[in-house]
Amino acid sequence: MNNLAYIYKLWIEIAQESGTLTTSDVLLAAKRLVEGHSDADISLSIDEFDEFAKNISLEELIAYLNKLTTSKKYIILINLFMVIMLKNIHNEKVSKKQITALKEIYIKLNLPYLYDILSLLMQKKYEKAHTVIAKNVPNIDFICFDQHAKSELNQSFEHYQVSFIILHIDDFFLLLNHKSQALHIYSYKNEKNLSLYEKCQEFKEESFAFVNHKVRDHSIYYLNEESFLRITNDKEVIYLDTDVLRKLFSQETQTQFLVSEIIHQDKNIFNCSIVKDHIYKIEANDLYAGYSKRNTIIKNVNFKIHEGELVAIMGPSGSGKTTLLRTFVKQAKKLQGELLINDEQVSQKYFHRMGYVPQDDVLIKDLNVYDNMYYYYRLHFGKKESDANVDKLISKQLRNLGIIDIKYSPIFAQGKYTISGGQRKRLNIALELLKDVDLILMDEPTSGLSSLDSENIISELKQITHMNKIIIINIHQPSASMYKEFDKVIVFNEDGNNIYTNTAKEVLNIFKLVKTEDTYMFNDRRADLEGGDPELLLEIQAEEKSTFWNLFSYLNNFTEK
Amino acid sequence: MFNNPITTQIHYQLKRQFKIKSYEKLNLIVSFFIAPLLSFLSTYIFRANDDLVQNSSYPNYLFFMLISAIFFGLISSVFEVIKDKNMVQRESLGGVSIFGYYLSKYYVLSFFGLIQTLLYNLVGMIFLHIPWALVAFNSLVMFFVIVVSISFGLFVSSFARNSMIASNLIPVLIIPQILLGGLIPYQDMDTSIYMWEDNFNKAPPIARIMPIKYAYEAIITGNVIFTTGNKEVNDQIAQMVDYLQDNQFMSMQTETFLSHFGVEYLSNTWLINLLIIFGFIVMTFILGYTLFYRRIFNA
Repeated sequence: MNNLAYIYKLWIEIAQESGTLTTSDVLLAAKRLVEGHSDADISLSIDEFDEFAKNISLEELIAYLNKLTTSKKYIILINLFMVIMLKNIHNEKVSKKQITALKEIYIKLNLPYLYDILSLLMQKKYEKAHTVIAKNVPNIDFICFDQHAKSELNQSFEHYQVSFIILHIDDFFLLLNHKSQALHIYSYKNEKNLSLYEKCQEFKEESFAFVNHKVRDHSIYYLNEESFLRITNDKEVIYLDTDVLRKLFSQETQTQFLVSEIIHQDKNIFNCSIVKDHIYKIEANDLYAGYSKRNTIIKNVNFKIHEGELVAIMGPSGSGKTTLLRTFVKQAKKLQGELLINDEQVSQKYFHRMGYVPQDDVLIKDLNVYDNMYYYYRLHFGKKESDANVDKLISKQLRNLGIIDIKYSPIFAQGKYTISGGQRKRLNIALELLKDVDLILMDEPTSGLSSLDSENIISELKQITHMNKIIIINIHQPSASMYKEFDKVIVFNEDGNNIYTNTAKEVLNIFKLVKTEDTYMFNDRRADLEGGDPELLLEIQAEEKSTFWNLFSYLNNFTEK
Repeated sequence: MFNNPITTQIHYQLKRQFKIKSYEKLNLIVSFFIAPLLSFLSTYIFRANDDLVQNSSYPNYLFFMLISAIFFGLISSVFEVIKDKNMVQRESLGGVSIFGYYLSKYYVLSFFGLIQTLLYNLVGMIFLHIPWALVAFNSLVMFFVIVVSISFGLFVSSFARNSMIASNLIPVLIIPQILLGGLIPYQDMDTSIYMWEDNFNKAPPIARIMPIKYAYEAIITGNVIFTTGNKEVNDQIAQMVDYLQDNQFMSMQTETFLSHFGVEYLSNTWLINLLIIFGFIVMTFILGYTLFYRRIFNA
């Protein structure tokens, strides 16, 4: 996904088909884009999207957009919001000041032409829009590799948070954008790019020989010419899914070695950031874990989690929620089955990409907030950055989490905490963000907090997942609004059996299905359940605990059917 | 991992530990105040005569000094590792060295132990008129005892599951040292403490695992050696040695081992005993670190 040219193309097509561009049309375009390219999700339904568009003010929207990262994934959403905003502008005749603010946002996002394109689409000037797209869009994805374009390259890296450069040869280069999980193969000659996801499937089983070839002044590595042509002969630009690429690469250890060598080389040349062992997928298959064979706590656990997801582990006290988290960091033993990270067994190799925040405070009470963070950074990264830069990093993380005002506050003084429970939880999160981990495991992040603080924490965690991170939390009794933030839920019963794993939305949808199923279990609550109200789920949990957990068992069975 | 060299980690661990200590101002003041206070108390009690040469209670002062050292070392260290366990566990995930943490703890506590040692002996020097050479030597032995106690304290801290258990273990570590350290004659005790030994002319086996026994022996014999130029002082302290020999206190092993090489017993005993204490330090450090490492990864 993330091919802007493609989304624009779809917009034009749909706009032409329907004669006008509505919110639903835009959403449809986005959905087509998503379905056509990956299993990623756009989190708003059509109704929610329209509701959002209707209620949000321009100022709120601008504030919201300013918060978003500039990674490509969010550019899609940003674009969708832009359309809605333009609609509002069109209908409400907003002030020049607001339009100026809007343009400033586009400039900040490095997409100054977007305003023109969308304005033209709204005015049904499709041909002209197409010309502007043709003129501008390739530049979004295209990164020149020549030495004279170094400044442009650096700018692009900053913009897209590019992590890896794979290879480049005469007229082509391959680029793995680690953050967006996609590999691009680009042509210098042709500036037209297309998405060919289906085509990529054909290459899954292919084995490519890599050849060391000397071009210009440094070594490069490339697919053998025949294979390469098979990818590129009919279409100038290929858009590969990273999973496909990883499968290709994993076929030969030698290849992996070459790739890391190139990464190293390109780091020196282009000064780009490199993320090693980035965690993008977690999977458990029939996992049993505990502290000894006689003390098996969790049983038959199955789940699959991708980056960008906020996952809640739910279940009654003593059901093994913490044990699952501890299994990741080897504080509990895997007794049977598989626990995989990036298709490999969990190992210490990935520990530096993980952050585990236990339920108890792990802050140093005798240091203030700043010193806690400063030494945490220094112990992990040494003298990599100057004190001034570390200070900036700390301020950035504290600001993101809304606790910048306690930067120099002591944590504990005169026998009591001087910062609140919520602030301590946020500080713990900030420590992990400072380390820039991919996987954050949090044990009961909302315990001991007020409902408002809990909701804020969950909402902030959700925001953090937008930075391509996976966050897994243990939670005992989430409120309905917190529940809505979860992408997936993993549910355990009292015996530690994993009775349900699915998307959080699916649980809510199941209420609607209950009315069509003949289940004795819910006879007494059928009328309530048919409403599909998420609050009810929590209500049942509070009132009838056994019914609640049975509900999940039922859902699991239902899903299997 | 983050490829942060261990030396850099130790550097920042030390800085952090010193910073933590500097935040605990009241604690710091109290611990620095306690040392001279106890020293003053002991000099007051054990000043049988203003002239050191005539002061028959001087060995008692030395013994009390070593017992104080054990207290200082244990109290400062026994809760240290327990309270940081979760934090170390978390940091170790990111490749932060547990060894670096443990070593820095050791360094910092030893540094503060050194200050306490100097304060303690300064007061002793003033009120008991102890010559500076002996003060320096006494400080060395006291510092060794503090370090070995820190080592024991960190070991207990690694071993105990919580602060309550750790605090309950403090008397277990201190009382036997007082009883079996050598001040109370072994022949006054029940012979069953010799267990499998039938030679009652040497220290019982259980006393031989007490670091303070070696420290007391070292400090007494050292006091004789380092005052050889001062006959009056030397004679007085030599009487202590006689007293101790009468009480079968001296390490028979040391005596036998040295006599094989024709080495004078007394001249090297203090050094041998300090080396034995150093052995205790190394051994408990390794054991404590191993235990702590296992606790972190098998918690």
